[in-house]
Amino acid sequence: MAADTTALAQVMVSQPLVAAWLAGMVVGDPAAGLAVGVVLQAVWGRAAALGGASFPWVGPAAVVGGALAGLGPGPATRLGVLAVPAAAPLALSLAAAFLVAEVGRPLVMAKRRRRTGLVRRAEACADAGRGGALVALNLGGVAESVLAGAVITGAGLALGWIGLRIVEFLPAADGRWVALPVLAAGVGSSAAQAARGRKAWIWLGAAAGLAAVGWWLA
Amino acid sequence: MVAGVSATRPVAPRSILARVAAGTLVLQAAFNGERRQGLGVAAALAPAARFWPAAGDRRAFFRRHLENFNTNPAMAGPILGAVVRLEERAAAGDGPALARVPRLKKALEGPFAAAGDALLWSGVRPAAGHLGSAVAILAGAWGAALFLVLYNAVHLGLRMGGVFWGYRRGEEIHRLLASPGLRAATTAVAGVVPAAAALLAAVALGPPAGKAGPALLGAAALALGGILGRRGFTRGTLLAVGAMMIGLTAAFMFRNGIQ
Repeated sequence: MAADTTALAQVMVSQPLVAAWLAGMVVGDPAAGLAVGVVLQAVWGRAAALGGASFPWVGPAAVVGGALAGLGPGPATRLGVLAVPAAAPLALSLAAAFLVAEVGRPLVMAKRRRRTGLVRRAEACADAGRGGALVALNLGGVAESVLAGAVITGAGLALGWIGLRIVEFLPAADGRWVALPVLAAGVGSSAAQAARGRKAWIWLGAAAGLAAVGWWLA
Repeated sequence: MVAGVSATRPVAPRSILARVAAGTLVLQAAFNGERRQGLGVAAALAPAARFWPAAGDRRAFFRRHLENFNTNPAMAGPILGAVVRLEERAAAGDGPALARVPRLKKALEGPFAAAGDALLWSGVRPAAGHLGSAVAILAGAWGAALFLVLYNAVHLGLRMGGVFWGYRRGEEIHRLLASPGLRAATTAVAGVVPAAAALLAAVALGPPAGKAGPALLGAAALALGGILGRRGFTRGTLLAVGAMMIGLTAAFMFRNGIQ
């Protein structure tokens, strides 16, 4: 999923509609994963890796969102054939996905900066006329993407799993007032991650304020 | 003269083109800030290095294609096909063809990127995503499958099939940009995106009562897409997506009774 975003094939199995469904299937609840996938697809359907611009790392994020939706308590309701999780686990799944996508943004850019060193090695391969070595060097980028994606997905799943356990113990675990601060924390921190400098602190402050209000109302 | 023959009658083995086409799938594997897709292009074109038997010529071949290059990855297919054709001609003795290789890449990477971004990133992918999501609500995993089929019918056709097409057309591939077919496809897809978004919102919120309800919703979605697409509303898609998000949220939180 991580490699499909740009490095390998780009057949779009990394798009949320597919990735979240597959992640849900792996944890035993494809219908819940698909429900989160539909929402995330609407959010990131137009996010594209244009030129050298940064972009949210959608593949790992969708896997985290879909898996957490499947790992949470059973569905609260159905939308068509989709199993929609209760408000709090749904919000937690979406928030974790947003956070992973935005943390992935600078990670992808760092990978691209680091790969500049590959150019010198590629030139050495070219000067030696070793086409096979050049191809291998290029394929190394796929392995690097898979590794980075596995790390960020694992971290997102671990944090999300802890969040799910906490949500289970809250008194109003299915209340929308629990969902609100969770979603606010996810959206706020991801927006802060995407923004720079002072703007980031404003976003984070607004999210913290909203989260505090939601918590107090709960 | 061999060059004259190969200029009009392409002779490269299909196996070379097939391997170049497969190489386009990892075009961006080592995307980097300095040369962007350059390393991927050199790796994808590596099978064509056999046109140059001399070691010095091969070195020059790889150096030539390690240069900075960046375009829409799907649209790289036709460009790489045309480059293979030029390399073949140059290796057969057509000197001027060699000088035209970097010029062709430089001249086409930008325009092909713009055309590909409009068609795929702003058109086919969002449209397939909305349609797939609507089907997912009604039929589950079939929605994800539909999304993959719709997107890759265009994407893989351009990316892999484009190598063979570009090889046949050679330097004439620039005509693709002015072709009525490409313009019509881009315009049509621009209309399908908001229509599909409206359809998804309608499915999420539930069709109105009565047998005519789904038909009316479908007609309204198509009309909306037609109007927004025809008038070239660049923000039409965003508006439709915004409306869809509101619809989805409302559907999740109220119609289905989430408390």
